Amino acid sequence: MVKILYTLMCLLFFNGMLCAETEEQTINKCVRDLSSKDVMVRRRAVLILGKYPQEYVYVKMLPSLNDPDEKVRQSVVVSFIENRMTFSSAVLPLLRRLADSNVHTRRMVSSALLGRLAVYVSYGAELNAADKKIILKALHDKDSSVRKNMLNNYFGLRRLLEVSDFAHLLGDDDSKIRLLALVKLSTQFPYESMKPYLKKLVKDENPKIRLQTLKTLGRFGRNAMDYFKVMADDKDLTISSLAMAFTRDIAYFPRLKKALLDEGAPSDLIKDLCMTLVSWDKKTRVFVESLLKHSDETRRYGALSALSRVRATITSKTLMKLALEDSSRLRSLACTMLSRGKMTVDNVESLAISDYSDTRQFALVTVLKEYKSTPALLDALYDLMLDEELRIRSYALKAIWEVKLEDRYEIFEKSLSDSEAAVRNLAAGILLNSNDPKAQKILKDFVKNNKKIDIGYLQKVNSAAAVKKIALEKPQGWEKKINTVLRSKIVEQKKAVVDVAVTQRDVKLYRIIIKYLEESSDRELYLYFDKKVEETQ
Amino acid sequence: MKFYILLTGIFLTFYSSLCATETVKAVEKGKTTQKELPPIEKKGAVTVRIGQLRSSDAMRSSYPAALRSLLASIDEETSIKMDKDPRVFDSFEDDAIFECSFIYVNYSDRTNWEFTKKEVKNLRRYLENGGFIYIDAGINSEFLRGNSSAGQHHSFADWEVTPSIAKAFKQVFAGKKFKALPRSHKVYRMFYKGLPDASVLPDSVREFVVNEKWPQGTYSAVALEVKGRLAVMCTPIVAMGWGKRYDSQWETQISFRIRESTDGLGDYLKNAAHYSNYKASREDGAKDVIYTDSQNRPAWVKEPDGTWRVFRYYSTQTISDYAHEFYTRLGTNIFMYGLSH
Repeated sequence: MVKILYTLMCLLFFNGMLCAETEEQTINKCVRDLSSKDVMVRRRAVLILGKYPQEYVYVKMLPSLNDPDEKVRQSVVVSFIENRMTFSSAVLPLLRRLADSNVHTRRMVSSALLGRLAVYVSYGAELNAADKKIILKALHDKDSSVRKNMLNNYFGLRRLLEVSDFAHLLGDDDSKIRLLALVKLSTQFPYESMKPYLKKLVKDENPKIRLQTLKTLGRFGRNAMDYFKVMADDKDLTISSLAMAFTRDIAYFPRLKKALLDEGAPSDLIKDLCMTLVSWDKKTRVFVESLLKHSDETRRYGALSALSRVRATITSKTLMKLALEDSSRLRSLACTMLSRGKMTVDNVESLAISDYSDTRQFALVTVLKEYKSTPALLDALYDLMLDEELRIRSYALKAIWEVKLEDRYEIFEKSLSDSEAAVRNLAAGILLNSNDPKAQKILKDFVKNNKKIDIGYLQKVNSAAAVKKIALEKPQGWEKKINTVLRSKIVEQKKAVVDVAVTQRDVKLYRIIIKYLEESSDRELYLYFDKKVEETQ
Repeated sequence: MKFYILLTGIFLTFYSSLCATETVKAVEKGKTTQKELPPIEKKGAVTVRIGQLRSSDAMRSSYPAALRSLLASIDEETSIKMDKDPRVFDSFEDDAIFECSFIYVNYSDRTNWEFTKKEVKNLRRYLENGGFIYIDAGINSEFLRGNSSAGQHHSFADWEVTPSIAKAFKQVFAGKKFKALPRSHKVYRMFYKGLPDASVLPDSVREFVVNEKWPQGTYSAVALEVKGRLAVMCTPIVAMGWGKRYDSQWETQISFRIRESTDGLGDYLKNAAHYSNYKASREDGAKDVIYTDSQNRPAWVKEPDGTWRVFRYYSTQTISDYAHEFYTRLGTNIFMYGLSH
């Protein structure tokens, strides 16, 4: 008794130690501290208050956004960010921090809060001239991160500002901002308004910007033909080639051909040019087709992708060669293209003995898809059932049974003694579950002639049969035995009990099973039981 | 033989890049700043093409833009002419792996980590002859293992390889085990040394990152040695910090959870109202007591030495950009190491 009392006292004591205050007490104490003259006390207060993310607490912190100490101001902003806290009375005080003297605070507001604040402002909150000036000033902030953040929020801010307010960013000193401005603003400006900036941008020293400018110009089509011609002479291979491609002028074909064969051509350019040239005219398509024999895999793949996209006709001889390549993406695409047409028996057989399992698997799928119209394809199954990959052997074995191959009994008899346990199990399972008397005979003979059966599946089935016998005959102590079975991990035995209960409509067994299911969380057996009951109804 | 020649070529290219990479600094108003220079114009054939193990359907892979962005960065920042388009394999069965001296794999891009017989044979040949495999997200802390995508978003520091990888490589090299890489390992200083310029970070974040999160630009990693050479390397996810969008902006947003303190914090926190608390182990086995807020997020911590600190969640663009820069530099270092060793 004394011991229990002592333990209770200890628990109360430690509980008190761990949590001596209520939430209200902690919050009130910290709110009081916000107006302390000691800056360290104020810093501590905002740090702790931020951990109680409720609007009334955050309302109390709003005056601290104007605290003379920059760390206090920043800490309040961080709290708003980490708890995604925005409410109408906080919008303008937070927005005004875009003019904070501390660059980190300006970065935080412009990056993590501005988008949400802009939505509030656009839908009702008043924005006076001074506040609007703060936003405009932030677009010219001396810190490039702030300017970039402002630009990233363009879509949120466009209800408050004019698109022309952002235009200066197309000529920003920071190349990342120039690039972002091109992406964000180019769709907003009509071609004529973009013109003064484009003149400079097509000659930008940064190739990324020139490339983006070219892509922007691409939207203006024939209007921008003069620029395309200028950029066709760009020193960067990608830019000049794409500019030539945009003109769709066949006179550029020899230069484009040279670019595509240039040993320094980047893979993206190769793919883009193949895609362009395949649909220009007959001459250019023939050139793309010739690339299927190129020694470089990237060019072969670029050409095949382009030809596949336009559904070009390629000879099965070429596709077969590509389907046996050492590049998996080429093999995969070539197989897809082969499957669009009719496959010959010889081709399927070649694929079935390929060095690559993905190709062999494709051969297996093709056999199963096409054997009804071309029975000779079934011959490939003989190679596939001896495949070195267990996965393919198993699929092939299943297929042999399903398509009812003439010598399937002989194959399955041999498979019961296969060196791989998984194959033996699979063969035994298929034979056992079939209603074919010949299959049952093979299995019975096998069991009779082999004293020691090393097929796991058959052992499980045997043990399930023993359980079924107990459930049916109910010898002395059967209830205990059935309960033990249900609480074991052998699923086949548990299912055997359910089978007997349902087929015999055995009330005693039903009670035992239901009691077990109520006590345990055996979802698998529950679902099986449910299914079986439903089947009998 | 071809393979050795390729490796030597890569090695020479790498060293020339170390000598040729140009860093120009300009002094502006008494402050040292990095001056923007146009990238090096490279001519001639690509010198390095790495391999990637993933499904041929890029959309089914994790962070599909990540590797290309990293390769583009290596191509831009070093004098190596790097092919941004990796050679893609569905499995290690492809003999084309022997044409790539470096193979990148994101752990989640392969669902079944049981190697086929041909893969075992190929991998043994590949790794014994100088090949290098980097398995990103090959370290998944125990609490991340139940959910395959969790390890793609949390780079939780841990020094134990994911069990399925350990089991898979046992098929290849029965007697070998993955071992933790010390923070002093050369891989962390291969091209970039230390952290990116941390002055862009707010004071409290900077202190935590420099001293605790990524000291000297290091990270947690394990590796498998073959013939005395580091041949397979695994880390928690790094690729989440590589990918760039078409507009050159980073593809993902990365946040930091840092620990912050101020004078007299413990006096208040030891009595402050909280929702629950639990203990968490540190690298050295000591325990932190974590207190949670109403959303069950870690709110503050009592550390083994009695210090009290508050958890703060920073999710701003500058911080995210900084994390991306770090991950890209780390990736570059790992690739440089793999290509030259």
